[in-house]
Amino acid sequence: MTCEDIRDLLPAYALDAADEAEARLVREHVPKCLACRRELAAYRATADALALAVPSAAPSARLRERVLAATGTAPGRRARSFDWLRRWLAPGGMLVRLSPAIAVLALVVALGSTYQTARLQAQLERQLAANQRLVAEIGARDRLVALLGPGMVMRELSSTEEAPEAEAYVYYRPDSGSAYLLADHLPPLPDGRVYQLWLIRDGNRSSGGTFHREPDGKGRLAIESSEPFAVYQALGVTIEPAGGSSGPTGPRVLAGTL
Amino acid sequence: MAIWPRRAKDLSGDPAAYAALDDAVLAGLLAARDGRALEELYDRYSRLVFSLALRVLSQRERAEEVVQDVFVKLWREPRLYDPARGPFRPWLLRVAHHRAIDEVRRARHEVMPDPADDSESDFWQTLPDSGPLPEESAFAALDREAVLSALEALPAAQREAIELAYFAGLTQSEIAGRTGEPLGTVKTRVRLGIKRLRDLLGGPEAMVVR
Repeated sequence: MTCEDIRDLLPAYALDAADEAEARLVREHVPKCLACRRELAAYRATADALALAVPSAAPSARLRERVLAATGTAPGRRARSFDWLRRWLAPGGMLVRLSPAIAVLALVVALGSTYQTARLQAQLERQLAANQRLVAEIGARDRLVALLGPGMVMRELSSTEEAPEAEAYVYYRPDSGSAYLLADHLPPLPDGRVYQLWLIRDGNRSSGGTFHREPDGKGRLAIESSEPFAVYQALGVTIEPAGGSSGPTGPRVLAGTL
Repeated sequence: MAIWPRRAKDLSGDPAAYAALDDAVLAGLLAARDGRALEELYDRYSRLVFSLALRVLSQRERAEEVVQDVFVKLWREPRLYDPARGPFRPWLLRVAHHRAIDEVRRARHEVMPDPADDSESDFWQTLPDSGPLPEESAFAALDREAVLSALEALPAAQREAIELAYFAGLTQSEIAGRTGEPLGTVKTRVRLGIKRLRDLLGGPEAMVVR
C-alpha cells in the first residue's frame, strides 16, 4: 500500500463510508504519515460539519433518566433509591419469600436506611438552596469562567492515613489565581468542622478557603487566590473548626504537589 | 502565614456553576467521577447527538439507544476524549455518527455483532488519530443553515454521493451498486464533493493538497 492508495481512501474514511478492510488500512497507515494525517484532518473537519446539517429533534425526557441511571450518577440513583424497598414489599416480592424472623429484621434495616436517605436528601436540598444564594451574591460563575480555555492544568492530590479513600483533583491556570478543587470519598465531618484547603509557598501555608462534604462524599471549592497559582509548590487539605483557621491545626486528609 | 482576604467559595451542590464550565473542563471532571459534569454535557449535547442518530437510523428508539451508548461509554471511559486533540463537540458527534452508522449497517446486512470483531474497540481507541491540528476546530462556529446551503450548492451527483455515504452509511461500492455508476466515478464524486464542501464552508483551501 502506497501513500497514493491510502489518500484515495481518506475521503470515504472521513465520512465513515469506508468498508472495514479499507478502514483498517487507513488506521494502520495514518499514524505513521504526517501528510496523510493532515489530509484526513481536513476531510474530517468537513465531515464534522455535516453532523450539523440534520433536522433538530429532541430525545424523550425518559432517556435522560435512563442514561443517568445507567451511569449511576445522582438523579437516577436518587429516584431509584426507594424502588428496591417497594420491590421487597410488593406481593410476591423478596420479603414474603423470607422466613418471618428474617423478614422483620430486613424491614427494620430497610426502614432505617430509608430514613437515612430521606434525611440526607433534606440536607442536600438545604445545601443547594444555601449555595444558590451565595453564588448569586458572590458571582462564583465569573471566577470559573476564568479557568476556561487552553493552559488549564489538572493535578491529583494523594490521600493520607486519615482518609485513605479520599481523592481530589485541582484544576488551575498557572498564570492566574483561579482554581477549582473537586474531592471525592471524603470522610464525614464531625459537627462544627469543615475542610480547609492550604496553598503552600516556600513552606508557608495560606488558606485557599473552606468547604463542606456533600452527602455523596464529594466536596467542591472554587478558589480565587491573590497570587498566580504558579507561585505555590503544594496543596493540602485539613479538617478545621467551622469558619476556618489561620493555619492548619487539624488532621490532614489530602496532599499534593503542583 | 495566612493571607486571609482571599475569596473562595464552597460550590457544594451548586448546579449553576456547571453551566459556566466549558466542555474540556467538564470532560476533565468526568475523569474525576463527577456525575454533575455528565448531566451538564448530556443537557448540552444529547439533542445534537439524537438528531444525528435519528437522521441516520430513522427510528427514535434506535437513535435513543445510540445516545445512551455514547454517554454511558463517555462516563465509563472519559479518557477516550483527549482535549489536546481538538474540541469536544465534533469529537462527540464523530463518535455518535460512527456508532449510528455501525448500527444501520448491521441492520442492513442483518449481521449479528461478532464478539471477536475488534473494530469497535479499535475505533474508540484510535478515533482522533489526526493529531492536534488547529484546523480541526475551523468549523466550531458553523450552524445548520450554513452547512445546508453549502450542501445545496454542491453539484447534485456529488451531493448525492456524500449524503449516501455520510447519512445512509453506504460504502463507496454500495453507492456504485445503488446508483449504477462505476466505482471510480463514485470515488471521484465523494472526493470532489468533500473538497468542494470544504471550500464552500470557508475552510482554508490550502488544506487539501491535491
